[in-house]
Amino acid sequence: MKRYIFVLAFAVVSVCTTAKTATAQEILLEGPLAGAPAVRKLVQYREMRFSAGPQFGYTLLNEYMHNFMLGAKLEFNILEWLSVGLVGYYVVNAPTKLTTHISNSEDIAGDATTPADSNFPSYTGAGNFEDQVSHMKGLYMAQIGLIPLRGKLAVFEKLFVAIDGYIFLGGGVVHFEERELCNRSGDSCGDMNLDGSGSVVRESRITGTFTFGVGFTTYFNDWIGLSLEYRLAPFKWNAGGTDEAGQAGTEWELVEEDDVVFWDPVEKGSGDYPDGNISEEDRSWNSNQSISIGVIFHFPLEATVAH
Amino acid sequence: MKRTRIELAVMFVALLLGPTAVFAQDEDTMSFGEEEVEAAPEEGEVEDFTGEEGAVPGEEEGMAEEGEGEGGEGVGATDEDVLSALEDDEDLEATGDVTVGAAAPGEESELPGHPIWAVQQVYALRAHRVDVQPSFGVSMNDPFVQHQSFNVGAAFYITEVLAAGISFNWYRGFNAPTETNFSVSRATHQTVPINEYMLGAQINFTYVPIYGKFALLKEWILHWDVWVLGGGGFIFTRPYAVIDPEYREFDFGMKFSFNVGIGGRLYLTRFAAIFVELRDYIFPEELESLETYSTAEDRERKSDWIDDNYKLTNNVMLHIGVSLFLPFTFDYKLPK
Repeated sequence: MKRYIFVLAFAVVSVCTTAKTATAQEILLEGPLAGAPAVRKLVQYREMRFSAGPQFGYTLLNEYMHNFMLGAKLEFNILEWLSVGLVGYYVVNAPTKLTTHISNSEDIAGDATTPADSNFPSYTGAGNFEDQVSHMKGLYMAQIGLIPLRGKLAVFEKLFVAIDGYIFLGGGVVHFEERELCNRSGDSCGDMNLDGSGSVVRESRITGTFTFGVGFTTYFNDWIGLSLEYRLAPFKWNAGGTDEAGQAGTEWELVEEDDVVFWDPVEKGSGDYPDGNISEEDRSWNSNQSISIGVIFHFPLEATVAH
Repeated sequence: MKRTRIELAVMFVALLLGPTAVFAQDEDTMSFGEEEVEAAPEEGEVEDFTGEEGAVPGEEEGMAEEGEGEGGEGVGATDEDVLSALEDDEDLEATGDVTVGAAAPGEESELPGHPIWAVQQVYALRAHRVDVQPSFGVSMNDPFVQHQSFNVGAAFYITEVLAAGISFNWYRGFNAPTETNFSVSRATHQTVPINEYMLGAQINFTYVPIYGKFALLKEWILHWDVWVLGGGGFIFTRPYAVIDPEYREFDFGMKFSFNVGIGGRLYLTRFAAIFVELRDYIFPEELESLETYSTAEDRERKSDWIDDNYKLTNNVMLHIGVSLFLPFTFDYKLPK
């Protein structure tokens, strides 16, 4: 009987102990992977490091002027997921096709178009139109960055680089030149005339704005990366330098009499448009969207590795 | 003596059967999603890496250099963890021509010295699947008319990175002149020729050169990829009559178009993703003639309504939609 008990006990112990030493599946059960953190030995490209570098941007959905942005960004990364920084852009302008189209417009006689009694001072003539529209000159922001995404990408299945995704929020100022306010009835529209002579005066304006955006940074090594970001920095301006405010009042209809075509004022409503003023009320919101690409250098040059 | 033999035989059998009698997985520390279980290869199925997903081992090597890992997939294993473990064994290399999988008891593992050989799989295989992409699009570069469209595309992935497909866009009813168009006309008394679109269709080739993953707050792994595409097709457009709307009325006409684009996709599951795509449809556009005439006879002459010169137009559309891979499930070539 003792022998049977011994044999049975041996068999049970064998089963139990063998189970503990079964290799392949057991590693998955209780091996080094079990309970492991999502990320280990993370190369910390940001934490307690400065990031700085040139930025090149372009504003989207431009109506009258293209804006090419040349700037720089400086950030201090307090944590791997938190940064504070400054970004500034100087803006170079170029006319859009619309501005070129109007600037080159000609009347039936082949002369440059001029304003009429119906649309002055909203329109200052083909020769003045490029000067009439607003020109963005600069964008200067302070911002806080949050970096919730961290990963890696494979390019052509050959090149593997680290990448992070960030959002930023901040505020600052926009510098631009906008057409000087003027009142036709007060004869304060400079030396401009209905024949298109004279010149438009733009004044420099700086206005506050907030900024928000998203971006990605790829890291080629410990100290250099490439960033791509999308930014919103909305503000109000009079983009076209035109008279915009007011509800319909007098409207002009194209009338043909004796083979002569002209604009005839017709009362179409009780509104006050056009009021003959270029005023603050003519300003509207510009979402001021832009995309930018930049090179980022990190200091100190060596990144730490998390445990 | 005989009894002794029987007893020894029982003990020997117990030793042999022991490993096979134990549970292979511990319920407390092991969990699989349903789809992983369904997608698991059949028992005994063992294949070599063919290079088609050769990025898997390669990717892991690249990841190892960076020192990252990830978890939350199946066993909660991280590729980095695995690689770290492998590196600890010094001699192991993540080459793709080895047989992968845990050695069953009684079998001899082909891996020297370490029982783990878990190369993480690409999250969603694309080869031989159809990617159906319904989406909504808005134009990005026309300040005078906001073109919006409903789109659907279908692309068959010939390999993991190359697909051929078709796409269709419906614009009619979703074109709207903008405030800028109104404002410019009102202020300058000038009009700019503008057009509306009806529909478009294209044949495209798609290439996926970039894929990657993000750790969201170091916890959740998000998989994504980026593609470029290009192709040709047609688009039906017509001018809005703005120069002389009293007389002019235009019909939709077909133009051949080319398109190039770039898109990115964030996987929600192994068969569904959300995507954003920027695509430029390039075509020669007919514009309304700026010439006006004084007599009714001249104004009625249709041949004078259209400008003689075609204008090469770039219609840049931003598409946002869902990417659905069919069939929903797929089999990995190798076990996890």
